[in-house]
Amino acid sequence: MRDLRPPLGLSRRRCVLALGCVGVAAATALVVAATVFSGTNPVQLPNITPSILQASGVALGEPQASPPMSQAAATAIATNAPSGKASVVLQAQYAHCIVTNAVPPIDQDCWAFSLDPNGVLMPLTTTPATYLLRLVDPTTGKILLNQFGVEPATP
Amino acid sequence: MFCRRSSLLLLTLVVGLVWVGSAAASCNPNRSNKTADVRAGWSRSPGPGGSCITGTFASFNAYFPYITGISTSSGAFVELYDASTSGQFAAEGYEDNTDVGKVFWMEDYGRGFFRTFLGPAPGTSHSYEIVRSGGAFHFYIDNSDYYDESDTIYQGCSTEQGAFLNNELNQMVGGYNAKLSFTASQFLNSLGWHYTNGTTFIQGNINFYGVEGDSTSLFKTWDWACAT
Repeated sequence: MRDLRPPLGLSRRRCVLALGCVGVAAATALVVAATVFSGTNPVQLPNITPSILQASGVALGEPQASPPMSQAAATAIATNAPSGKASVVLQAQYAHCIVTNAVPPIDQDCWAFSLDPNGVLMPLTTTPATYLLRLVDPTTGKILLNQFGVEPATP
Repeated sequence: MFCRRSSLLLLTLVVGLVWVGSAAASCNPNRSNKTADVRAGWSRSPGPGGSCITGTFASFNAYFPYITGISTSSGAFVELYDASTSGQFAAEGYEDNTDVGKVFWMEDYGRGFFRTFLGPAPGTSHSYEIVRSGGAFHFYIDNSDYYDESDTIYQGCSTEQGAFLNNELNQMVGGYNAKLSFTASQFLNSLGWHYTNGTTFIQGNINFYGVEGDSTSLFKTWDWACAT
């Protein structure tokens, strides 16, 4: 079908092109900002606040693939971990798990568990932990991270 | 450094085996419930005009003589702490924790988190080292770097090494006068690594816990509750 609209002038075309570029750039920036800031930890788990995750170098995002291990199988591992005795699961979530301060850094999909921290103490200070986070490798069943603690005083 | 550490690791093993043998008999001193945070060891600060302590190193045996029950722990550690920021610290060691089992652990107290991972077999000796360099605390076990933590909220500058015990009533299953030996205990400052010669301390209940040291690399911390 023929376009009945009058042809755009050169300057108008440039203007539209420039606006388009600005729009794309703005949209990209918004996506990046959402990912880097508020969207870094879109996966929410009970007791585990964004400030806890940020302070400890952990990020939980949307998974990049389907889990090769069922939640039930991962739960069995998480609650009977060699590095942690059986615990009550508050919530499980399949996520993309990043731990920036591990050597080498962890950057993969995993099962993330928030476990009941009741009775768990920080050994050197005997401060009661307010959360217990456990990450399970969905392929090997390895415990990637067993972490507990309190809300950080300084982020 | 490697050769010196290797020879001292062997010494640790020998001392540890002697210690384990002496601790075979069980006892229960009937401590009061929840005797929290009993610690003994040595510490060192740079002192006026002294250079900041940026590293701590020790080898010690993994031995679990003490506790049964719930929510208690015993273990040993090395630590860099910052007296200027309310004692915030980076620490690591091993422990027997009734919630998480026999584990290695690291703690970033300033950021409020504690991590455990598959722990040492009882009776095995391991080296523990934390070094602050390049804007981060580097956590090593057996000379392998496994965590790097930013030093942006505290810098350490003082060090402490010791053993700790958090027990409840009738939980003591350890032996008489059981001792934990730290060998190759050293700290790092701008002039290099030095053997400890630090100030020993006992925190918590001095009637049950003790520490002895010398001016070189060896000190011992022990439980003497069963002696009476």
